[in-house]
Amino acid sequence: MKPSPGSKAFDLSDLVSEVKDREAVVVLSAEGQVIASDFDPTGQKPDWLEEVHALATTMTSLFQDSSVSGLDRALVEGSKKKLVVHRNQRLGYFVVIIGPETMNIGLAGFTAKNISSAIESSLRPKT
Amino acid sequence: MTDGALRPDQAGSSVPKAEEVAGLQEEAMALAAIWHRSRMVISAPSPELAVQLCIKLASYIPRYRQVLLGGNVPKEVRYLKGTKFLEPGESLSQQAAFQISLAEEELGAAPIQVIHFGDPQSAYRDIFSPIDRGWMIVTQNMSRAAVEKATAGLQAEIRFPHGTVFLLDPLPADLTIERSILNETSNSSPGVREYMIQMKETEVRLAFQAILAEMESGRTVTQSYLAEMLKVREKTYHKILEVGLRERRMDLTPYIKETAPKVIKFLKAISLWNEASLAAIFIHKSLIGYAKYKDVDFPSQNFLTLGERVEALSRTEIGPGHPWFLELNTREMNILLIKHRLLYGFVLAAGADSALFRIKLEGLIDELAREDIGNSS
Repeated sequence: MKPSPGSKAFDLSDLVSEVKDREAVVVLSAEGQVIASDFDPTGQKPDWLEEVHALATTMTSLFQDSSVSGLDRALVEGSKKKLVVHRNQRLGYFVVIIGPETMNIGLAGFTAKNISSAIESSLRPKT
Repeated sequence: MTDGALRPDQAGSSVPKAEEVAGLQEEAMALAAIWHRSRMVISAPSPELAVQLCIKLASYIPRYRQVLLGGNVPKEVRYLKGTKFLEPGESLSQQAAFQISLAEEELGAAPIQVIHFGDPQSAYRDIFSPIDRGWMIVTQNMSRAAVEKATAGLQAEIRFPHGTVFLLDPLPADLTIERSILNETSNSSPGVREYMIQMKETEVRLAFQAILAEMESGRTVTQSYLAEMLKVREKTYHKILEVGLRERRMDLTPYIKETAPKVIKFLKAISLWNEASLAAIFIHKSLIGYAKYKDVDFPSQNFLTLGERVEALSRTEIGPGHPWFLELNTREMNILLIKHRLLYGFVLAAGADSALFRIKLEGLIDELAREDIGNSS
């Protein structure tokens, strides 16, 4: 089943189960639409969604006009929270995993990449 | 013959050319003296050699300066490119004209460079004594003692194989840029050498104007910001301010925030590590430290943009908390941004171990955090 904006059509639960202490997972399109998430898309959107999208698009746009290419991973880490952002090069989607300061970054990064691959393969035409 | 007046009729015909064996150090000194608008007397054993030396040194005069020829101007010099010939006139009116021109320079008019041919004693007494920059008197057979007696006293002397340049102003302390240009072009044609000299002089002039415009726009100007935006190294930065002072009588130094010694120490320490290609340090939006270790294209403004995005996140429930860092991995480079009182931005080589780099940085950042950089810079 193809993921669609604002739906829970793409089930993330299995894919993120290993990152036990995560606080939120969201897949955003390049335009900022929620492709998949572990929060209720019909409810009130979290206050950070727009800012996460703004950060992700800023990271991408910084490199669009330069010779630098292939932005694929970003990490923000502070004294309270961690964010892992993985960018799907082909679709332009961002997979974002948010967790506490103790979250395992390596595992979260690996998981974000898996989610990105799973979404990409779900969009591929079945033969 | 000791009166020093240039007499073209006495020119020899088989004397060696003045520029034949000049050493690099002498050339660098002469270039610096002209660039900094030192007052000088050029003397050679014959009028022909004096003219040769004068023509050689004239190639060091920045093209944007208005060259004015006065006195008993030899015909070889009259047709030098971009010069104006001053009709012989009353000395006091010439003096007044020069003084007005110098005053206009302060308002942005092209700086003048006067080349006067004739007896230094009368020229100095009647025209140049109140003019504190930008003139040279070309003469012949003047000894150091005679020049000292004829003028207000000498600061330096540059000996060429067939002539001497007596300077009434001290030479700049640092001749690195002059030496570097002359050294790089030591095997090139005079045309290439002149091109390199003129290019650097013009760059310095334009940079000064840009700094002035930046200040007039009301922006806080830091040495690091200028280093990045104007793409100049420290020596050139100082040259911009020194030559600007000589051409516009404006000392911009007090208005530019210099890089704090602790920040310089920090940037130097990082230069010893192989991972970093670029480092930038900000207080708020002011760039207070900048160093480019390798050829990389990443405007420091990008660090600020990213920093603002993370700070915006901090106002939500997933704010990372302070201090924080941001790491971006791309195929060509890694970007590392650290907020710990100050904002630190680094460009690292692709594949560099950002985590290890951060650990190495901890001590340096802690040290800088203890300093009141905002007030000391």
